[in-house]
Amino acid sequence: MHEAAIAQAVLDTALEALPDKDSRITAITVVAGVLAGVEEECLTAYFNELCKCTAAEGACLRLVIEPAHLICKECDKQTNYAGDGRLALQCSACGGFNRLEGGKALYLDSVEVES
Amino acid sequence: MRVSVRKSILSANDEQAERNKARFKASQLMVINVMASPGAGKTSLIMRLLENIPSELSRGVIEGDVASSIDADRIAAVGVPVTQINTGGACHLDAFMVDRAMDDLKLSGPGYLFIENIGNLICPTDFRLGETANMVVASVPEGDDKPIKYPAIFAQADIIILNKIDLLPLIDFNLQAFSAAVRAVNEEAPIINISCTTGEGIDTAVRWLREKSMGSGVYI
Ligand SMILES: Nc1nc2c(ncn2[C@@H]2O[C@H](COP(=O)(O)OP(=O)(O)OP(=O)(O)O)[C@@H](O)[C@H]2O)c(=O)[nH]1
Ligand SMILES: [Mg+2]
Ligand SMILES: [Zn+2]
Ligand SMILES: [Zn+2]
Repeated sequence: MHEAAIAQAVLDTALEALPDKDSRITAITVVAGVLAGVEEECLTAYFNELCKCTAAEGACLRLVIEPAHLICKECDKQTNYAGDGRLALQCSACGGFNRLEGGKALYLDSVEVES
Repeated sequence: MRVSVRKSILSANDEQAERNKARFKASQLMVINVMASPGAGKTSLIMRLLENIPSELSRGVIEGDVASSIDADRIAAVGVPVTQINTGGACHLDAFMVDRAMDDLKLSGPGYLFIENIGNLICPTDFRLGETANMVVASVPEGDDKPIKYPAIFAQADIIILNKIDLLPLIDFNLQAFSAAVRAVNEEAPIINISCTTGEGIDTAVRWLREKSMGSGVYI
């Protein structure tokens, strides 16, 4: 919902990571957990505008989506939760209740730099 | 050349939130970040809690609102210091806005500061404000499946308030299903059922506030 703010923060963080002022960023990899609520198309659209006239102009933004996990409190069976709203409260194997773990990451993993 | 960065995207906000936290602690303020969907009863709940805070303690409210000052006016009308943050369309409060609001409010403790976040179940989760506790308000008319649809915000709640329980006889809302859904995403946060209209359950919420303030090193 606030992809504009996230896109600006991605750009700022990436520019800070530039080794010297003459180099350029050609690609940026961001890792976002499904619970961070980042919508890819929307983020890319904002980023493509914001990066203009910076050292990251035209850079390709790659979003790696990290799933969360549902873990059964009884038998430890683990299933991925893709953030699509179908959060299973109960384990498909034993009917025990699940707990949700992970999926909260939101960080800049790396940048591709060209001098 | 690939340069590994591995840095939180919201680190600037996170760092400001840490500074806010230190500031709140130094002023002996227990700060509650109140989050909910629009109309769940954030302002009504804050007003109910304010009524129950002993008069020797200070009280204050930061009202986040996209545009209007309606909520801030409601708080001001009962004589509690309040500062309004108009986000100008932004869907969440961030730590910098709260820092500026604090400059305005000039509140010192010991006491309680309530921050009413923007009505929205998605955004506020990403932006820490420096709060002592996250309070998530759900309400009966919204349905019992909200924790399943918006797991992130319920997952990080320190307390979950279920408001408008006076409407339970009228609405198909299953209390067991709601708490099972909460427990899937958050094993610890207490769930307190209240009605801001009848006042039911408010005493339990007030007791929780007191216990939390003692447990978190803010001695009130
Ligand atoms: N029946 C009933 N209505 C309530 C209760 N609490 C609040 N309301 C009503 O719900 C409506 C919204 O309440 P607010 O306190 O303004 O909700 P809010 O979450 O602050 O709303 P926004 O700031 O606009 O997002 C108002 O009409 C309140 O009177 C309750 O316990 N029961
Ligand atoms: Mg309100
Ligand atoms: Zn937002
Ligand atoms: Zn199981």
